[in-house]
Amino acid sequence: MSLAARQAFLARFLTDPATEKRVRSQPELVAAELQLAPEFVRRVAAIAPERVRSFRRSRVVKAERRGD
Amino acid sequence: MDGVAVGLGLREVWLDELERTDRRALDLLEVMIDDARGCAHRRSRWRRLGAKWPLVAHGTDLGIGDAEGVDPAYVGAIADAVAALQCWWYSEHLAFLRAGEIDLGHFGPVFDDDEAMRALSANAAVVAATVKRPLLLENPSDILGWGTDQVEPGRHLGRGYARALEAADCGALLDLTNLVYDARNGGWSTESFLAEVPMERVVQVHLAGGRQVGELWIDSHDRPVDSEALALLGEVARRAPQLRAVTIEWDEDVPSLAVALDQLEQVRSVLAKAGRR
Repeated sequence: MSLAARQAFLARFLTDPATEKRVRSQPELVAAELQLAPEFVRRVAAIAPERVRSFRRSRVVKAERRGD
Repeated sequence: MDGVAVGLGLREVWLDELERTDRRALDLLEVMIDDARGCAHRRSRWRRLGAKWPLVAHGTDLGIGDAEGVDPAYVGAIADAVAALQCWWYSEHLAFLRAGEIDLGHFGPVFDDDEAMRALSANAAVVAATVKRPLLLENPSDILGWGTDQVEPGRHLGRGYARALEAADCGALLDLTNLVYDARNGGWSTESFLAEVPMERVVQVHLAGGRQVGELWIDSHDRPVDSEALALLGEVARRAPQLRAVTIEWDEDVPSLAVALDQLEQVRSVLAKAGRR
């Protein structure tokens, strides 16, 4: 599983709530569909929801600061 | 060990007052170098301040951990700005920012494996060849708790940071507030992290203040310097022989320049006790 594939998967998980929900509920299925290592997908699925919310809040703050 | 310069992250609201401020009030300024790209007026004002105080450059948009590589045009623009402002060095966050079609707009973790280190090394080589100033990489905030599933999270994160510095062959910008908050959030000690960091690579320290949101401490850069981070500076100053500068960051609820300069007095006091002023 390439670095590019892992970064793209984590980026989608962090920016798309629907993807986050699916990864949390069906990590094995998602890993099989995307041909990702199940261990990596399980590790992403285990990131605490509060930390993902915090990441998204910081993302918004930074975008506002940049004037996006 | 040499004395350590103290300064502020330059913010627009202080520009006019800084032009009138006595040179002895601070030792250097850190500029957000992304804001200097393509803005001749801003660059001109910063250059005037640069005649008064040395400047160091800090960036947030590079993505030095990106698997797809850094953008040569972006790096070239940074190099132009760094050269025009005669910055002592250029610092960036150890992070990935873009993957496929997605621009994270925030700092994603750099994985601690061989492929990630090869990508980092290649990207750092592009920066070194283009910018031609020392590169420093800042310890990332472990906002996702990426290290917290390890037996010794602090040591694991410290080792990862040390490995990245070696792969990029660069200096370290230690953000002590990031470190203190990561340790608080993850329930580990700052010393467990610092014990793994090659202190001879540490060139600059960032300090700031943040807040607790829910159960997590966030380095939001909107409060006076966190007292635990300030205390930790003394320890780092005693152990980092190449430490050259400490700067305070303030991005939200930016106070008057007088308040910010008063914070620098506290930094000077800690450095003096550590024998670095």
